[in-house]
Amino acid sequence: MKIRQQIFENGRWTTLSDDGVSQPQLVLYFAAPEICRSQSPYQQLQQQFPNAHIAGLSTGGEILADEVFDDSLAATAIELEHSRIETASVHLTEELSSSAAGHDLVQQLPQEGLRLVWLLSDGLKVNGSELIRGCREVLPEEIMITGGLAGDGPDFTTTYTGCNAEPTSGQLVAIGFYGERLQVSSSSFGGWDRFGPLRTVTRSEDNVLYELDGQPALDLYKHYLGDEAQNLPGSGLLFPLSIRPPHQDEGAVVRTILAVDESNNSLTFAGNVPEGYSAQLMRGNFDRLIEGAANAAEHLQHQQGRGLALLVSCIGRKLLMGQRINDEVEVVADILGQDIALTGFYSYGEIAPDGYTGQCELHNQTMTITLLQEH
Amino acid sequence: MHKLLQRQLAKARRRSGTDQPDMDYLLQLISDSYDEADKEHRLADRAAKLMEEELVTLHRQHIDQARQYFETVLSRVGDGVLFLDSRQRIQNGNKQAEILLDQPLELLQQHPLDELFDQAPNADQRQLETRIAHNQSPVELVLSQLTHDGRQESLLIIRDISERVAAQDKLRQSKSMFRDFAESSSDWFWETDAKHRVISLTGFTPVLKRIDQESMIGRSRMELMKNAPSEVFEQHIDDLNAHRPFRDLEYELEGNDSPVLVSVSGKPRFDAEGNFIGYRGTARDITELRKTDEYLEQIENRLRTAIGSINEGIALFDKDDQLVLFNERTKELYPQMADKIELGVTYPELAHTLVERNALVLPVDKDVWLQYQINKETRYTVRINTAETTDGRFIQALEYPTPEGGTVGIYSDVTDTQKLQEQLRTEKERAEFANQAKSEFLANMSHEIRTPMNAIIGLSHLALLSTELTPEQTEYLDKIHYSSKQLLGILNDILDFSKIEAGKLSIEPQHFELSDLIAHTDTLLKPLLDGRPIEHQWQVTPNTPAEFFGDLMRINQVLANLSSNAAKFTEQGQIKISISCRPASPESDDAEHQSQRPPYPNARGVELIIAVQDTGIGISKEKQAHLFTAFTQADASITRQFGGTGLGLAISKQLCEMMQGDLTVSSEAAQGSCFTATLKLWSLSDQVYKTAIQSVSHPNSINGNGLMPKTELNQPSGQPESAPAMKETQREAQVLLVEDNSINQMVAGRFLDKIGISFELAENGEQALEKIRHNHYQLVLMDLQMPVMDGLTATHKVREELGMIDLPIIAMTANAMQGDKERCLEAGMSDYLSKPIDFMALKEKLERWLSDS
Repeated sequence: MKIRQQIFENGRWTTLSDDGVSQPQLVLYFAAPEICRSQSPYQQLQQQFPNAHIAGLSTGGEILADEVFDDSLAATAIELEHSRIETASVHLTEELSSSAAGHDLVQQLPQEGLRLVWLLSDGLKVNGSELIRGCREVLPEEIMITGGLAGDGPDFTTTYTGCNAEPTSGQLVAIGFYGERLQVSSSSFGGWDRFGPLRTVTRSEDNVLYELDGQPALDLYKHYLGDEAQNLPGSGLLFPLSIRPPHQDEGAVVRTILAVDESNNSLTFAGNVPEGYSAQLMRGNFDRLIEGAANAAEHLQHQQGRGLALLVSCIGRKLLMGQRINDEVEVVADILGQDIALTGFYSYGEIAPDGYTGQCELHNQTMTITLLQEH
Repeated sequence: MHKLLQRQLAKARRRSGTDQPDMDYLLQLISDSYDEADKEHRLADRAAKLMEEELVTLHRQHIDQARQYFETVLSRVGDGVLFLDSRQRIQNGNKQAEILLDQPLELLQQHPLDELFDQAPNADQRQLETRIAHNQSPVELVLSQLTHDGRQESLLIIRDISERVAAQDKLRQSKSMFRDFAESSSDWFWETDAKHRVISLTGFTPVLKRIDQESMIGRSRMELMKNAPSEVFEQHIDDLNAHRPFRDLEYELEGNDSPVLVSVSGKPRFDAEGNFIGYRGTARDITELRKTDEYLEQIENRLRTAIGSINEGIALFDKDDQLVLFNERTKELYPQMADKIELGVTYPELAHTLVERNALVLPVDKDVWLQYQINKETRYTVRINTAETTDGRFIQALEYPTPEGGTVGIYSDVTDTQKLQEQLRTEKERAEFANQAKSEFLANMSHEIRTPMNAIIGLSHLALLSTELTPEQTEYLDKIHYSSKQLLGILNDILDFSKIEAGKLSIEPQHFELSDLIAHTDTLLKPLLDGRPIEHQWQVTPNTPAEFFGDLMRINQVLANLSSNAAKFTEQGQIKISISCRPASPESDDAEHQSQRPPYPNARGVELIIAVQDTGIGISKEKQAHLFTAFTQADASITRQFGGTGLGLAISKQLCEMMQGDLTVSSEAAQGSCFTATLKLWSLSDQVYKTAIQSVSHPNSINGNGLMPKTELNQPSGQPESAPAMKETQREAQVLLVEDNSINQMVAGRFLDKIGISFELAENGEQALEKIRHNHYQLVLMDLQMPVMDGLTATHKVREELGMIDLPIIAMTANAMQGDKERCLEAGMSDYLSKPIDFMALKEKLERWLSDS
């Protein structure tokens, strides 16, 4: 495996590393929404790598090597020696549900030799839980599914994904990694602390939450956010919601807010919030969040040799930690060592197997890492 | 340098693109990081504060709720609860405690515990049953320790156990009742343990004498059943091992003297945890019952064998009309539905099958038949119980109700009997028809003979009235007249006999006087005795009634026959006719006699006894036996010697019998005879016959000149010397004679001339109708059988068309058979004369009808 990493920032491309990549099969890029809109990232990369699959999306922050960038275009060209790549994309329509779209998307990928499907999803028009369900209708459990939802910084307005074309809104992209000698591993950790009383989801509909303990959920968030309430929905990520099936201590997932609706006091989350589930507010502490990222890195099945780590971390972490967010990327880079190149982005939702059940889930507020190596 | 500041510097350098960092950007980054830190602090503080508030609120809610739960539990718990301090004084309590102790808490607080209960719990005895002091309700008290802020307090629970105590009482009673039942029942109750060993027996007394109770206890079911057949044993062990309930298990127990057959039922018992702990159930001694069953079965088998071997089909239906018993013969009798005849089939089903399969030749519509058979109200009233089958047999079905409300049917094949009866009936009908045909023939023959006889008698009579005859002519005519009358007598006898044989002679009772009977007989008898030394004597018993109701004509006929016989066979001596009367004995008041009871208030049933005794030749005993049989006389030679048809006595006897009487004879050869006629009549008044004895003597009439009295030849009996003329008014009457036969026209016409009645002649009904329409007649003499229009039709037309209801029309007919008179009267005729016309009778009718008009 050969990797070349380069960053487009302040109008300039800078190459951070290059193993001598000549014929990459895949170029992955992560870009600020504004760049997606105005800088033709596909065209720039296609000129440089005319024979590669070029896929990417808009973010809430780009990760390349051990750094977090803003307002940049971070690209990684991958030349696999023993493996191959297939891509697929689907445009979302009014009629197409998230699960049906997921189904149609992965249906396009041949399953022979398929090891990993890395999903690049629109960040706002998709119910991530349903998307995963649709994919799983087609793909057997042996084939790993990871990925993330595109971001729009803290604005929650428009997100973009692209696959062998300029990025566009309302699209799903899947990258299939094939090959006997490909080793994939993933891990996902949050590091957020639950606090306050345990509440019950008393009214919800799919990923829209109306009431907790019979009280409007939006009011609760506003109460806790205080002055920050004016920055909703972005500031809602400061207090993620931990939900779990009733009367169970395990299988908890974290949900972040994608949107608020003042008219009916509702909150829209990136994944489902089923009625009857127990819910508890969470808050972040810098050290604990960094510890969570370290945990994610340590849980990967890591071999000697070159490899690529795809980091999908939640925009919520970045919004809370501000400039200190770089610490979590550094801790991952330290643990994985020099041979593993890092890239990734700050997302509106992370897709990875659950650490406890092993089933692919939509996560929020986590650091999710997918490690690719060839042997 | 802080790692964050290093990173900010690196960013600022990248921003400037040189080693010199972009200072504005760097300051901005640093400022932002301060803000971020402040924001993080703010949020953390706020969250911590809010969380604490929320948790405090929640905690308070929890405490409130716990208190609420506690109070709810206390008030609903049902038990009384008191809280006591370390010195056992009441501090607090719930409502139930107040209710149980019947005092408010404030009052309770003033009492030590041992005043409230008969006995109070203490540290040594924390739980006890006692009673509330003031009302003696049973309670259970439980004292438990509470530690509150280091102080020893306690909690007293007061549980009302009055229901439990009552239930225990009830249970005790129920147990005692159970024991009583068990001991008084013939069943006994048993229990076994988990290893099926008998552990208790209740109510075993009745069989104690036959089985030792002690020997049963501790023995297992397997031991007890050692004499049972292996399949019963194994099945039962299976049941026991599977803990299945069982019923009516029968096996023999070893008894003291002989085996005892028992029937056992049981259910498995389980403890509260569901572990099997044994069986419990009942048992009884069925030795005697089984013997009775076997005896009954034997009887039933015998009955079945008996029923099966008889030649009749037998079927028994229960009260629901279901077949419960039948024999094979039933199936044989009804082969068309043999497949249907089985236990449980119903009577209506069988009846329907018979109809559907067309097994019987039904005398009525099949639905009517079915309805009649199926309905139990009508089933047993079937009159014709013999049905013909479509295969040509006759089956007699006798069905009766049983006392249980069912039906028993006895079915037999009566084909042979039926055919025999059919044959007999045919033969009888044929014989009767032949006999009747014979009688009809005789009657017709008589009729055919009477017409010419009519002419001979009438014309000889008319000729004898002439004055211009030589003595020789007179003698010839006299003999012709006599012979023809005798011939008519024979003819009448034959006719009577034929009528009797044909069943066409009937008794027509009327009112008559005894004197008429005597006078008639005298008139007849006197000429017969003429010239012989015979004393003729009447003897009438003094109390004999003067008037009777009976058929005078037939009594006359009998008496005439007997007296003429007496005259015929008596040469000298005496002919005595005795008449007596006695009330009819009640037992002889038979229905036929009663049915002739006349419409007179004083009518009494009597027996009139007429005895005719002579001193003639008498009749031997042997000959008496055939005396009353038709066509025989005492001696065939007698007919030749004395003449006569030999029918007279037979007819007389028949007539007597028709009058519910009899005719008997007592006689000895050469000793004279006595014929006694007994007749059942009705006397009409208390008036008795006056002349007790009338004796007529003919001392000088001994005549040795042959057997026939000479006077008979000179004097035709019963005929007047000359025809007496009619009264003046009657002679003026105009009569229409309707007659087609010219001889009869002449005979009747001449007679009418002789008595001075003028008449016109019509030769048939049509002519008569025409004449009646245009002339005025006082009376019509109407022949019946005429050409063109017969007499009956003509009469009918006179009555109906001419509307002449009162015109007397007298029929003259040679049809002497019964029924003629009725037919005439029905057609509207006024009266009736039979041919040959008896002139005296004609005159009498004319006098009657003309005087009436």
